[in-house]
Amino acid sequence: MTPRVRPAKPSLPTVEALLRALGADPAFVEAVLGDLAEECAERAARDGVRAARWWYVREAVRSAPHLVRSWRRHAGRHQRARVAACVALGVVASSVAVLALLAGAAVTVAHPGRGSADAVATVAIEPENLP
Amino acid sequence: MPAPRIGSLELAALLAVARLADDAYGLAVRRDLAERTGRDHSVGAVYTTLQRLEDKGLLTSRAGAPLPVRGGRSRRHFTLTGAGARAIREAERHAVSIWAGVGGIVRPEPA
Repeated sequence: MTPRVRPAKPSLPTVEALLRALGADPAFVEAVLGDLAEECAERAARDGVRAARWWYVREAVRSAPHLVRSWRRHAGRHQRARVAACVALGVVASSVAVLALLAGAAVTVAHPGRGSADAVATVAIEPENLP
Repeated sequence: MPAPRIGSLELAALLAVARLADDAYGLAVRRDLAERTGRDHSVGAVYTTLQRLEDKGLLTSRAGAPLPVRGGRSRRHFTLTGAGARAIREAERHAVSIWAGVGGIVRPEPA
């Protein structure tokens, strides 16, 4: 029985969109993704679709540092600024999310059942019960 | 004009393009490198190397026809330039020069 060949189409647009958003050379993107698709199809026919998909993911991850280095070499000032702004925004958003989570955890530990910042303030100003 | 400096992977890729001639595209170069060096270089590593060689003027490239097996994408075929051929000859001269005189030391004497 001939194995069913299904190219890794679902992942390709995502990777392509990412590379294009980074400002990679379209000819370069076309060649890299074409090679990935060609070898993925060959592996799917030889080793099965699951193995081919794993290979595709592994290859995309292994290729990423090289593609980033290539992008850094060829990207213009505007492209670099755009990516730097996106990275900075991501870092700020992650920091805010982590701080919010930590603050929420602190409130829960200090005053279980009253999960708000007011609860911490209330606990801090309550007089201590002296013996 | 002095030949641009090239690294070991760049030299191996140049030689692969020279060997493969009309069939020198990314996947074929990658397979040739794996066969001869025993190392499985990633697609990204091979393409960035080929792109670097093109930037140095040692290779030129052209897009082929779109192929169904590649999801409608075309192959990028690479060709050695005159400067690329000179760089290969220069690398060979350099290798011969640095190996000169050590053959008897590092190779076992014939019985």
